[in-house]
Amino acid sequence: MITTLLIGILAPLVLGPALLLISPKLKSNLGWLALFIPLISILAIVKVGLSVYSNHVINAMTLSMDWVPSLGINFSFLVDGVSLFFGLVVSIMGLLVVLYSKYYLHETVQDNGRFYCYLMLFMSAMLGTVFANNLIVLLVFWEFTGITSFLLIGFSHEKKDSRRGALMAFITTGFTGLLLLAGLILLTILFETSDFSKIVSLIGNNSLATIFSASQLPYLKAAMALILIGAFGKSAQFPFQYWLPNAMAAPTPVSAYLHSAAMVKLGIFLTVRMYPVFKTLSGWNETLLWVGFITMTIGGIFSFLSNDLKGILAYTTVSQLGFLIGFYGLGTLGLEHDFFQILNHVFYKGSLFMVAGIIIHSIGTKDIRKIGGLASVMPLTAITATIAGLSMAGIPGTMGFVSKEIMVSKVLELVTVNGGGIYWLFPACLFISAMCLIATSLRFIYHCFYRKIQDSTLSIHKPKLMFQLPPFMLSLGALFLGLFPETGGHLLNQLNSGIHHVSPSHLAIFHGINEPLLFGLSIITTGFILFAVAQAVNWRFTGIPKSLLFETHFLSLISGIKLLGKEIGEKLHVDKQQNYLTIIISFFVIAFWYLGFNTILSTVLPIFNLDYLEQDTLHFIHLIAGSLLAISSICIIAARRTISKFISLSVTGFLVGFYFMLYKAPDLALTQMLIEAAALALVLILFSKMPKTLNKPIESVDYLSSGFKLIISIGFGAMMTSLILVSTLPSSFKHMGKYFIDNTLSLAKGSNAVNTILVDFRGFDTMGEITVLVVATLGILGMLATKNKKIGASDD
Amino acid sequence: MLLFSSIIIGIMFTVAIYLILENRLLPVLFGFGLLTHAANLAILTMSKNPIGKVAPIIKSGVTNYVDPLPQALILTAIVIGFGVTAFLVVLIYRLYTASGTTRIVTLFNEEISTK
Repeated sequence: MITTLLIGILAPLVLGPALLLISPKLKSNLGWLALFIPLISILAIVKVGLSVYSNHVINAMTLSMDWVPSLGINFSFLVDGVSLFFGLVVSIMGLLVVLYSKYYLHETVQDNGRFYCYLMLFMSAMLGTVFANNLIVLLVFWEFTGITSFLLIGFSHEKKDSRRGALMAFITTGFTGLLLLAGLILLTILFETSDFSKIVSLIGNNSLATIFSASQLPYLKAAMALILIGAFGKSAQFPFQYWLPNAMAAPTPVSAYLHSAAMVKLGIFLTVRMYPVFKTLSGWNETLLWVGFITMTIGGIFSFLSNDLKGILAYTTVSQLGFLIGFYGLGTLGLEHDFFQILNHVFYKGSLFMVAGIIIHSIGTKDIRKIGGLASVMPLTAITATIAGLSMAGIPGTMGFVSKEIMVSKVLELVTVNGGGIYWLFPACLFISAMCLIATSLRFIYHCFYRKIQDSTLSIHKPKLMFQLPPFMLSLGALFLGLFPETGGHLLNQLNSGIHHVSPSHLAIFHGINEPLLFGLSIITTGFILFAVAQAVNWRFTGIPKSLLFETHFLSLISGIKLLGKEIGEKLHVDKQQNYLTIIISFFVIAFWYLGFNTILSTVLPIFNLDYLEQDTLHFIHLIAGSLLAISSICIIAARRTISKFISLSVTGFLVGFYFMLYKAPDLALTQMLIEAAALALVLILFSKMPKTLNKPIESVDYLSSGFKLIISIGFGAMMTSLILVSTLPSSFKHMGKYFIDNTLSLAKGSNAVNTILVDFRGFDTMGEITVLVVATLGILGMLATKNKKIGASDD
Repeated sequence: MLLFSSIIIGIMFTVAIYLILENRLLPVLFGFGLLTHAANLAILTMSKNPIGKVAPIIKSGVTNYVDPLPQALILTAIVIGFGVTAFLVVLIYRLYTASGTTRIVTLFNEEISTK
């Protein structure tokens, strides 16, 4: 069964790029071929679904393959009501969108191979996300939807709007996706498994507070908050709602897919998925309620104020997504008919987006103020838009009405259960947004299709019948479920997955005269009045105040981050080598003395007792050699000419060789002398090649003041001195040298312990050393062999 | 001897860091060379006071050898240090013949202006 499911999920991923390859041969006929890919996915999902379906119940099943077993991460999938519902919505909607794109792209987009490829990749990512059982697998697919949606939204990448919208969506969902990652990892740590089904079975019917101790609860809350932010970012909830209207720069089929059925539903999906995990945690329902209702209200009002055809639909989407999130927040009163609500939105919003695409395609403008009288040109689309629009408005007889009535009854129940007070805000929010949505829907239908032509300069060309078919099919779905909610509800309740009521309430168009009906009717009445009033003033008030558009704040935030980076970069001068060296070294010195001053004092000062000094014998010859060493190194700074500086360095090198001698290290002394002689010869030869100007006294034009440099250097020197003193304390470490002394004769057959360490005990280190020398030699040869590309000075 | 050595090494480190912070490449090179010497000596002090001990060449009847391990480490370090110094010398020479300056600021400014 896992193979079938994997075919369903991965077929678009594999076949999508294949479309790209054959697109030059097929040109616009590619759309027909592309139709088969979602079809494969649908069939695979249906087959998997039927295999777990028996006696009107879906028995959840996990399918698993090893992926990273060492981390407990399996490539595991969960087939249950939730995943089957979302999987079917995604793939069927995918099929319709491909059919629709076939006609939409026909004339507007040249490279449709790329388009179908992105679309298929996106579909694969969506299917992977909804079927994922392992949280890590879920996140991988989740992020993949982010990447592919970026490609889709920014499809017309030569337009600035597209790039901006794509980037905005990507940054927002990418950022919240990172938080989601943190949340999921936290959840994995808390439950000690990353398998969702295992987590759910661990919880069972218990409350989280009984499973976890009080000290762990804050972590659970953090995980919940992070996961919710991830969901809100993807579903464009307040305060992330700004990216959705901007993503409307995408080609319309993309909007129809991403913003009705797919991408934005992922947040809803995640909420449903995590529902059984967090339902008993305090704060879960409250967060969903508040965020959902705030988003719903903002979306409703903004859609009422928009003039852009797709902008209107974008804000109604934001509003509807808030509606859905808020609906889950009402979950304490029993989760039921949520799939009905989601399907309702998929049907009417997908249909309306496609209608908008048809209008834009045939008239060439998105400004609703210029559109009018299209009913005579495209009667089928007019019917489609009317059904879908009325469903969005929630007029009796449509799916929207049934959906809204469920919501109203739940919200009123919430108010009664909690005894009024602040809870009256929720019905108020619902009232305002629903009222705005009604007025907006009526405007959409009336202005586009039924009023007389507004701008006679626009040429309208008639869309093909097949082009109008996919939205019509969707609106028929909305009509069917609206007229027969009982059948529809019954069908959807088969997808029960343990989180829903066992016996959900009955769905019907008419329940008798009751509170929700009256509430709903009063919304409709005020909605119509609002429309009439707006119509009377000719919608002159429309346009959203810029300060309320979060996107401006978002953009200034982004540019602020850029500016901050630039400022810091300029302040640090990281493009100048000696400045960042200064910063690194001074940080090192300051950190050392700040943190270690007391420790150093308490360990170094006691050293200076008589006992220590008595043991620390010093011969006259040492004193002479050491003093010479110090003097010659100071001479390197003091000398004015480069050549004198170099001679001082060389003298220091030879003195170091002598000092090695005093330390009873004849091998070192010998090597040091030889090397020093070689280095002296090398540099002198090169100096003779360089012009005399280089040997002029160096004038002091240093960027840093010498005083500052001196302070840092002395700090560094003092640090090294004290480190040496601390590390040579009698008890500070055990000597390994004794092992080599003892074994050099018996194991390595050599009396010189230093030599045997190099060639025998640690022979591989010497190999490494030789390698370094070879690499350095090759580098030098390379540098000397290349010819000068003249940049400034003359070539000698 | 330890106290004295550590102070001398401290002075060498001071000079080396001072040179490395200069804005010409040649002093940086010299500073680098000095830093190598100072680091080698710092490692050598780990074999404690050598007075009264003999070099680690095994002879019968002798037990008070100095620690051979730091010496072996330094021997490697000297050779690698030479390799790096030689590389730096040639690099600076090439930089000079290519751009006519060894002043770092000028080098970078030129790079910026040619962008």
